[in-house]
Amino acid sequence: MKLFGKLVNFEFMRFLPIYITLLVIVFLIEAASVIFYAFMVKSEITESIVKHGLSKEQFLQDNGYASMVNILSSFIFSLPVVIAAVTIFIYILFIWYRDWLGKNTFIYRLLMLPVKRIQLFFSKGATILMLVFGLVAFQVAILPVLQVILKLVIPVDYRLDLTTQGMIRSLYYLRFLLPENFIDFIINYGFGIAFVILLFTMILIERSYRFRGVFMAVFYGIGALILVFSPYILQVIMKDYFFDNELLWMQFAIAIILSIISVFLSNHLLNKKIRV
Amino acid sequence: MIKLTGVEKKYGRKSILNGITFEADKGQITCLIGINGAGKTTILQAIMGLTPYQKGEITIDGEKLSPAVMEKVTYIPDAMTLLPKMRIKDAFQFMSDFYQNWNGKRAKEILEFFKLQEDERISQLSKGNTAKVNLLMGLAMDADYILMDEPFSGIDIFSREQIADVFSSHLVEDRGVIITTHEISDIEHLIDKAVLLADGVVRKEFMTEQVREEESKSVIDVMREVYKG
Amino acid sequence: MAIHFDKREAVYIQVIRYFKEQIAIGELKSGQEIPSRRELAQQLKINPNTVQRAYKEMEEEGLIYTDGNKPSIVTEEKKRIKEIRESLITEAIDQFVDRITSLQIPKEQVFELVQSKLNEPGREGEEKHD
Repeated sequence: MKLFGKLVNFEFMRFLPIYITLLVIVFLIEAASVIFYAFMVKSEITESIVKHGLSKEQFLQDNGYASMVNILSSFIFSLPVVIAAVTIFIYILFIWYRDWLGKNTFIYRLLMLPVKRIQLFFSKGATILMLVFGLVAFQVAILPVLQVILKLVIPVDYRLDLTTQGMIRSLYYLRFLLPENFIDFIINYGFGIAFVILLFTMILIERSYRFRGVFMAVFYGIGALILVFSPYILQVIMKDYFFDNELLWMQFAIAIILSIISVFLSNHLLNKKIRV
Repeated sequence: MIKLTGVEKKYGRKSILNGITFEADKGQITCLIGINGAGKTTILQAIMGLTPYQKGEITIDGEKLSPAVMEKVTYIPDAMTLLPKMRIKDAFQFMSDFYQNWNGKRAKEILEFFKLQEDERISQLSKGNTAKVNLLMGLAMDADYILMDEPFSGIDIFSREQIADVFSSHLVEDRGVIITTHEISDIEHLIDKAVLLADGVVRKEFMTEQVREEESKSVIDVMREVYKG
Repeated sequence: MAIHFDKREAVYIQVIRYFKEQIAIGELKSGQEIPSRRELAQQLKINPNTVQRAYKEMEEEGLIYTDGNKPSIVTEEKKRIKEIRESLITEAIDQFVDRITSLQIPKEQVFELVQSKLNEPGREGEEKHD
């Protein structure tokens, strides 16, 4: 268990430089879009009131209050989230392949560590999970900071300030990643974790059987997806017999069973089939 | 004792190992000899569970591969397996973090013996120094068995001499060493046992002193008989 | 210390012969410490197990003596040293006679050739030992 912690720490530290860069980029894009929005609103206010002599009430009636809600739901705010999601997705693949690729094959060292090899699997998985949680926490932490920018530019009379809770609710992705309902939280992350386990297993199939493995992995992946979505096929056959949340629970159960099978398969591959 | 019994390995349709059987004792230096492609590296990788095999059995002191065995056996591949951006001291830290048998004092001692600096970056090492760092990482483990893959390949004469010195030193004292090579002349007098390989089979396994004493043959004479006769 | 090894002869036998020669010519004196097994293996670049075997044989033959954990020493028995010298000489003469006999050279000619060979300049130094 102590070694497992060290493994996770080691994996995390390896990604840290890119991770910090990613966080900085996320912050810069979000800050830039807030600044852009703030000055745009400010110039609108100036134009309406100073040039056209509109009253404050008239302006607010036409334009509404300046608020984080408007930015959080804008397209520009999807960009950093998409960048972060793509980076994490690539790293789910790269976290394995980086150990084989390049001049120095570090996978030798990892496989020869005095730990059960499935711990490598779990440590890489835990690292991905930490990266995701870290990003979510970072996003939540910078929301008030971003609002401060808005506060500095727009006078209080034209502003509608939000609580952090309110901002989280306004950002679609965060509503998904930080659901208020605990069950939703479990389901969302459960599917996420199952997805990562499936990808890891596909990678290990490819790393074990190489060229043949590519086809086997694709087959395994498609098979898994078909199984996860099979309740919907059932639903069509049964002519809408189930409620929607029954379907979801069926999917969830299938995802869990597939994850367990995948972990056992990965354990077998790491112990018996893997090649450096 | 590291024992291989009838180990067979196929890769696709190609046979790599066709029933490898031999033993390597603790306290002895066993040398796997064969031209490139004879399966030497594959054998070492199979012992460490780094490549799959389809038939046969490999045991280390009677045990199958397990996390505990990784403390007992250390493998020195002929390529660098540390991360390029690591400094030597980072690599030491990595090893001491994960292995109970890592001997930091000895690591420093070998570092000095090879005249290397612990601040050097792995990516900056010359070929000879890369081989030395590889060797160091293995020798600094208090392991019972050391597997070395071609420690002499592609390095200069002085590095070769330094590395050959290791074999008669206290660094391998009482340990079981398996070394692979295609070039025996450097270490002919340093090894206890020779295992001659060709096309994935053991053609002959013999104690070197015994063939010198009983048959008045050098290791190379035996190789000539086996490979050309 | 350096030995030019014959690759077709057991290394431990060559090590023993080397020690016998060194003792016979007085390079290694009675009671003198000899290198540890590990040291000798390092010096000669040979397998420590081989040195171990050579030392074990030499001990059994009474060439060297080891007291507990102390370093091994050359035997202090004068008689044994004399025997070693004699056996080396006998061995060399036996080999020589074997070869010469097979060549079928008359005795007188052999004596003459040996005499003149030993009197060659540059031989003086070595002669003292024999």
